[in-house]
Amino acid sequence: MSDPKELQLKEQWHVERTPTGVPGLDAVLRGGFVRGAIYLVMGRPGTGKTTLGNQLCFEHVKHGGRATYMTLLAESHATMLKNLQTMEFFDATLINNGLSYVGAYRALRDEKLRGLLEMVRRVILDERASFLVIDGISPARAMAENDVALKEFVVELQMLSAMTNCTTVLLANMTANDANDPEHTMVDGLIELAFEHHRRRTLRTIEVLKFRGTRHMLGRHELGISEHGVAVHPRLEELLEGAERPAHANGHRLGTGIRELDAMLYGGLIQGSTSVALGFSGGGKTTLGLHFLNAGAEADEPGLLFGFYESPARVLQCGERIGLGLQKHGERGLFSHIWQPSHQFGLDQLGARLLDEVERIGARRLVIDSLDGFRQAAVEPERTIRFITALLGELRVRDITTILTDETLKPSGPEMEMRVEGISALVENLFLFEYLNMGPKMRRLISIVKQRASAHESSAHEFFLTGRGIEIAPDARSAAEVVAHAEEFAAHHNDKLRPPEGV
Amino acid sequence: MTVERHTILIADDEFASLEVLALLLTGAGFTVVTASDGEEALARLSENRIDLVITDYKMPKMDGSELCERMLQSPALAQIPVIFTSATYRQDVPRPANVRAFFGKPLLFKTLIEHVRQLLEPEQQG
Repeated sequence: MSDPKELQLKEQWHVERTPTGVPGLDAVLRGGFVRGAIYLVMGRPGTGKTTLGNQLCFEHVKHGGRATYMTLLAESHATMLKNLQTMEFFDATLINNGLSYVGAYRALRDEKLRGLLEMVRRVILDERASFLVIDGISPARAMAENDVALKEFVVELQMLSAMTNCTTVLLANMTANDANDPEHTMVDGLIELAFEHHRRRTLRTIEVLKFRGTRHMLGRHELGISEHGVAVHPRLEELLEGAERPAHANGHRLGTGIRELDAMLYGGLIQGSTSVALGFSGGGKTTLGLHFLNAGAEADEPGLLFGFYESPARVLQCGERIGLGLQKHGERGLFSHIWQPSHQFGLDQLGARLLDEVERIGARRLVIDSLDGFRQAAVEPERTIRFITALLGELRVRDITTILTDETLKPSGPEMEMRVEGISALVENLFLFEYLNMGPKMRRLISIVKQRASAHESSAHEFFLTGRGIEIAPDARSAAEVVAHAEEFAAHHNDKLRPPEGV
Repeated sequence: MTVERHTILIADDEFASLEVLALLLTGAGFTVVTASDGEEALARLSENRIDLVITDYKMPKMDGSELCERMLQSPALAQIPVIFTSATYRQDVPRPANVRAFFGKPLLFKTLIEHVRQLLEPEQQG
């Protein structure tokens, strides 16, 4: 039995958390700010401090608290609010109705740090604020007689926050390189917003450098600023780490939309499995994906195409051309297409977009077109495989049947290889799309290299891209002829496996 | 008619705790006198007319418990109510007779001020 004295102390030291309401930030902080604690958010101009500070205030008020945004030497409140009004979190009805804006520079200038502290006290008690942002702490540093005076101020501010249970966030135009300054050592938490440059790409990042009283996710995470406001995208592998949920395994089969392929798979794809469709550009991989999503929509199973290359208009056009009613399925909420250039977002933002849309439409089927998009989005190439491992694990747990396309550099033969090392071990099924050079005419073959937990047709079949999409030969006879002729052709021309022009 | 402000003595060896509590109580309308240990608190008690003592339990030179005992031995100070504060003090430790309440640290000002007003302004608290 617990010692009642210990229980009493535990109760006294109980750490209460206050969610930030900023997407993804609570996950990084593992539950939000500690109530009554003081945090320093730092970063160079333009990294998003003011937007974040305001969003924290609005979200706090929306969740029933009262907040004050205090400025020292910063842009005027009117200019700031004007710039923020397009943000989704902005709600003018909350201003002076739970959220107040206060200028404190004069108190600081006239009465130095003591005057500022007194101003903070008045604001917290008079406004009954449970959340306070002080924007632009640099003037306070400048007004301090020395480092000790600044340290005293920060400690008093920390005590004031704790005694009044008012969570306080200081915004500072500085970086982690200055992290030995008094305000850095005294605060309960340090958060840095930064730009990360990768050649011509720039990503916004957030890193929690210190967080007293509780563990948090270490390292840098992507941060996005859009009309929705600030959103943090925690590294997917860390976000999903430890989420030990069993993957579903009911053995149900899903039709691919191509009858002969289902026959080669001995009944279709196993529900919740992941497949890679591997092949040269233009070989039919995306078309396979469209067949698969169309078949799902016809069975009332919502599907998502998460693509990097083909625009929504082109995809619909392509579907139309081969008789798939993707537009109609889209209107019924059974087909969705998320499309983005791979350089626009980092891996984690892509992962979040994908999982959010899967959740939103209740997707049962997913096509990622292609793995190359993730590879190009990765600023640390060695992370790609860890990210994909986490993503596929999560999709499996959600029982989503997934096809990923991956492009090879060669059209056929033993040189064909996956461009993200280690993927084949992660997926249950692997389809190979090959071109074979037969002189003026190219022939196409499809084969199932593996299907985990099930037998499958082991021979390659010839297939054709027609007005009805992918049509696969019912047996392996023509494929055997194609392979024999291709070898003969190669022996004569010593010019093996050259891709056709314009493919 | 002028309402006389109550005077509170705060004794705490922790600088920020002392300063901020003084700031909050002053803002709440009280006159505040401060001391950073028990000995200094006794000196302030002899110099001022104090209505309430808020003292930390653990302090150098003379701790909160001894301060209370010394106050009880003095007829002039024995009736002054005391509030104990501590980060580690346990409620089961015997309390001197003049201790009216105990608050664990970190103090929550909202709860503390309610008790202070009940002790000093019971008629206004209904």
